[in-house]
Amino acid sequence: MINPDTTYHVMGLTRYVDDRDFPARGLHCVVFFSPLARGKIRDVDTSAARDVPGVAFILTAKDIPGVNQIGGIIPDEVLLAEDEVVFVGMPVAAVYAWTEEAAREAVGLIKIDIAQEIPVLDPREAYNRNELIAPVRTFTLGDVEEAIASAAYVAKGRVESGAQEHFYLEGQVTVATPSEEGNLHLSSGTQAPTSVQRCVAKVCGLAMNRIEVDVRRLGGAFGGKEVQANTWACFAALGAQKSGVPCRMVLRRSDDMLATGKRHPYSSDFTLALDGEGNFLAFKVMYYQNAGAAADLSTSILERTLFHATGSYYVPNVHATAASCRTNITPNTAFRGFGGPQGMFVFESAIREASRISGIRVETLQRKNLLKTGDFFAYGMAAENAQAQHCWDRAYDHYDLPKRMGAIDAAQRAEKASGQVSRYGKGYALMPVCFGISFTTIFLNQARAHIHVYTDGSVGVSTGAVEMGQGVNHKIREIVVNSLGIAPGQVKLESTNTTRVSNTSPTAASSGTDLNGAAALMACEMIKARLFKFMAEEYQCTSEDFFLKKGRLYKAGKACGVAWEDLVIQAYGSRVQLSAEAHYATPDLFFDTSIEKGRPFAYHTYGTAYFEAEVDRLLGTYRIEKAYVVHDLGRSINPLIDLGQVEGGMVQGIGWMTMEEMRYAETGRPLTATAGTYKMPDISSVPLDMQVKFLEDDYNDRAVKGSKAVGEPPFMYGIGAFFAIKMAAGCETPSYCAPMTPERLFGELRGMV
Amino acid sequence: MKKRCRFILNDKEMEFSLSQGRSVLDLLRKDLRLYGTKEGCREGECGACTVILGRNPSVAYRPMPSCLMSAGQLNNTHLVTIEGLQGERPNRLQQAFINQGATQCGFCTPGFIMSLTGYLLEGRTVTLQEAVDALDGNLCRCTGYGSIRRVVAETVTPLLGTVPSLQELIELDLIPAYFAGIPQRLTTLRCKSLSDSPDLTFDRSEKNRLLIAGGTDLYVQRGDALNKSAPRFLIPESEPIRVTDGMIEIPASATMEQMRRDPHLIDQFPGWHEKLRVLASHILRNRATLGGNLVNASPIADGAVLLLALDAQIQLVSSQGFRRRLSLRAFFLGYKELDLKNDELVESLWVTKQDGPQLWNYAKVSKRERLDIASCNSAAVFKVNNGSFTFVGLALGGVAPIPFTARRTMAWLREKPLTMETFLGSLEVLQEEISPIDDVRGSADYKRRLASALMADHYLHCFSDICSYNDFVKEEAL
Repeated sequence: MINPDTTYHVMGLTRYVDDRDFPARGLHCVVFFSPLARGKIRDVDTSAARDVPGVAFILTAKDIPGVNQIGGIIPDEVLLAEDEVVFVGMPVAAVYAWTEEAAREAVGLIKIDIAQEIPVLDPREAYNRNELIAPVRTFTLGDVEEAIASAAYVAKGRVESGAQEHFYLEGQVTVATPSEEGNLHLSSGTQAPTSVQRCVAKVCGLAMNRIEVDVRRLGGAFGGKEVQANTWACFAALGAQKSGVPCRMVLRRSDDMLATGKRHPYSSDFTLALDGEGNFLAFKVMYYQNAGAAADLSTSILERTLFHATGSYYVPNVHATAASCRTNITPNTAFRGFGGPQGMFVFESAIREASRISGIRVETLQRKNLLKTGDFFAYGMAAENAQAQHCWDRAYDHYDLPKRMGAIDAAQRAEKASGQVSRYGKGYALMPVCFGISFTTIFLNQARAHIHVYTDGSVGVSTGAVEMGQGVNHKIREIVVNSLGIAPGQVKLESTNTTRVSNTSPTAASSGTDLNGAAALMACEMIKARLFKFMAEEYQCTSEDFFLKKGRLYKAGKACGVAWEDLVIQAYGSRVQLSAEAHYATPDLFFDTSIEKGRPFAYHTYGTAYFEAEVDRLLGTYRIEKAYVVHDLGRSINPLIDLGQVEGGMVQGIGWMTMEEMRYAETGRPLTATAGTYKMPDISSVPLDMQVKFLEDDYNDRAVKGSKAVGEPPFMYGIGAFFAIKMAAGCETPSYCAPMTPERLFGELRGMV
Repeated sequence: MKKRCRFILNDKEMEFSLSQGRSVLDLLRKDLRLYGTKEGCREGECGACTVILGRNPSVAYRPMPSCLMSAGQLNNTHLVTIEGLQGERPNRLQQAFINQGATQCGFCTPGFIMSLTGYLLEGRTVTLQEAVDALDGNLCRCTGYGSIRRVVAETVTPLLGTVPSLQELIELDLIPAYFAGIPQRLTTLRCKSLSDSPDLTFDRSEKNRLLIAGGTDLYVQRGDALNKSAPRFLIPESEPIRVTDGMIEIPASATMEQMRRDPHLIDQFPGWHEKLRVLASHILRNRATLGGNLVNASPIADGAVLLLALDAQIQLVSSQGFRRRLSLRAFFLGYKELDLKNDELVESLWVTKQDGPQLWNYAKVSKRERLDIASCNSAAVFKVNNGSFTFVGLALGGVAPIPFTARRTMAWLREKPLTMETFLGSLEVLQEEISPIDDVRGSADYKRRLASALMADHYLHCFSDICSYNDFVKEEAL
């Protein structure tokens, strides 16, 4: 079934928030950002800005009618700076004008006087100064010290991974429109409508029921519009509230990259102990997360790093500690994988270091220690229906990996034997992924769906899921179509709206379809049950024998059925309720943070990726040539959408590990916060030969229709690209520092690091 | 200052007054409320705002980013947006995007469709490689490009090896039927508006007004100011590259793509066409001019580095009509400082026409191969006689405040024998004359050593029978 949204996309007919006519009597907001990373504000001079023709008003912290506080988990983030600035790009004043040009001109005339202080940029330094977002957390399993004492090999090292810009193609956006009662309607580019509603209500000093948030679709998000959308929605809302006219807040790319949070950089120390055969005995790790200037979702992200500390492997003794460190860069935020990638990169680095000191092949170490059903994670949950080995072995078979790896190994041996170094080197790496599915904040694992069947048989579906390109609306459409046995054209997916579906969880954690699809299915079942009961009374029979198929209601054993439309109109005439709201909460989840044990995930998703890279050792450039994946999807609801998620996620992961580099000056000013300086993969830099195979024989009884969540897990395949490059370079430096930009690779090749 | 402007937008003749410097993106979205063209970055980096521009009669259609185009340059053109491809249902290319799942969030999709359609309209022989390359200026954050590659393969297959005509593209359901009538309509439009064709050529009496050609640097640097301005224009790709008096004359308005495809340059410099693929992106090369590249005076300018190695001459013309020609090597005086008077413009570049293919090489290292500013780039031209160098042209970007001509290395190499010893010696001389600095494109140390690596790349490329990578490693020269 083809996703009908795509037709509008290709014809340029899709309307994003800023693609609607905005009234001339409406205000445009442009924000003035702190130019410095840390200091006390002495003065903000907006006088010249106010004089720009077309400027309506300028808001600073003291003008906020409600509470100047947008922190979610921890209330530690102001919307507008009060007496201090804590990062470059922190909003200080919001200019509202009748044209965007006037607002932008005015912003250029605002002057700020700051008593500058030395910023903290390094998370380890922040840790040493006890600048922590929250108390340090530790997950333990077994006895690490004892295991290390008995080990044949003990690998130790340090791992660094960098920030990553989301680079959603549609920037942050909200248009706020006031009603005559002073209520606010927000058309917002957010993954979390309820979060926007709550945040705007607080800042505007209004009850939540006076804020309506409507989300039709997003032009990409990847986690970057989960919490980070709140700020810009607040600015739009404040302008509309104060003026009584519509207010448009659209972040230009350069402002967006400067002011919004990124993926968290991590600095980590590991110890991995193994026995003489290469069995992992113990893993000890300390993560220093660079949270930026405020909590945002940092503590949840840190928690997921701990959950994924040992990646796709079983380690009997684990001691994993994580600190969320407060620094003076943008508050970092959710990004596909949500801390999992940072943790898995550390573990994969530890495996390479273990291989280096033990001489045991990396793939031997990986395969030997892959998770099996029944193996315990450090957080007290056992792996169920583990597919780690299955995916790995299928990849070996399906892609003929022993032969491919053998050829590259042979070439490397021949090169060594000849004593001649060749300019171009090839390398490979396998990357197994195991990713836990569910929000690790248990209460978020709930969703609601609201389904209306109209009297002509057409159906409207509202859920809490936000469509951002991942195809969640279409997957839910498929679920509804299959459940009601009607044509796809009869099912319309409504916008996500807080007045139709309240208290929504963010569309995040890969859970959109799992939660909202399950709720939609329940709502369909409720409506079906009523219809069947009604027909059973009509026919004087039991309702169990009815089923809906191809637009008709059938009764077992009867040849011809009743048309869906007739059924609906008859039921309506008999006053049967044709709408349903269903609530789904993922069962069996619990977690006790006092002992850091529980069952935080409904299930795990597995997969294995194989990469081949070629390095030009002269110039330090590289090319990822092949990416072969075996991925476990359970039973796919829509294989075309899922293929796109796997390829797209993997390429984002490759970008994070290779060319995508956020650099900051010593002053804390970001140096690569423009489209011209921050480079993400383009069509010519991705693997030419990219193949994805789904595991056909798995069925997942812990998600809707036997499927598995697909958004985040493929991202972490990208880690394999890093190690393929490292092998191709042929430099055995024990350095594990991402991204592997050409500059870094050049440095490694020349022994400059 | 507003001026009248006449052009065909999709299927409709347009005539209205507008600010000449207003970006076409803002014209489309804000003034005309055509929302299919998306704003992604306003830097020409993402391609979400790609449109197709057609000019009669000599130049075919070109896809380019509308955020870097001036509305004032639209006179007498056919401007095509995604709305202009539209029939009742998706066309063949659009259907392929749907079938392959090559659109997810959809925001970048119109840009991709415009770039590929524009490529097919360029009047050039279609190849699969070039069709994929035509999308190297379009970013997609969702799909990972696998599905988009499959779309390209599926769509261009019937056109491979051909130069598609408008009629063929219409028959294949890749463009709407009204395209067939556009050449005639453009001719009519041109006749009607001849008396009112502002800024098609530069008016030298208005010497204080800014001159915009491709706008690929200017709109990035000061787009907001330009939006309200009334600049003068130099139309990209409005003049041919030709051979005059034994020289290849490249007009300042030549685009990077025009230069990349010039048959004289391709004949003279084997691999020219392939190597210049790493300059910007397809849609930007259709826009960026050589003159602009030189005048922007970036120390890392790809075009400057190429032409310095080729020992090109630059011809300037003053508002009084006085012309002077000087060696390009003398044109760059210091950081962003040129031998160019206030009332002078760059008119053309001149490269000596040689008999037969030359020994040359161009190499560039950047974070991303396409559409990225180099950490270092370098071009070299060698002339050899009896086993010795008789002439060397060598230029590097990113190692000095200006696009750098390695004069000392060039002089040192002259008359030296073609040996590994010479090669190694030249690296030492080169190291003495460069002075890279730390910046966002790389550390000074990195660029210093990269310069040697690029020089080695020149030798390995041109003299593979004399040296090998292993030789350089063995001598610890890198």
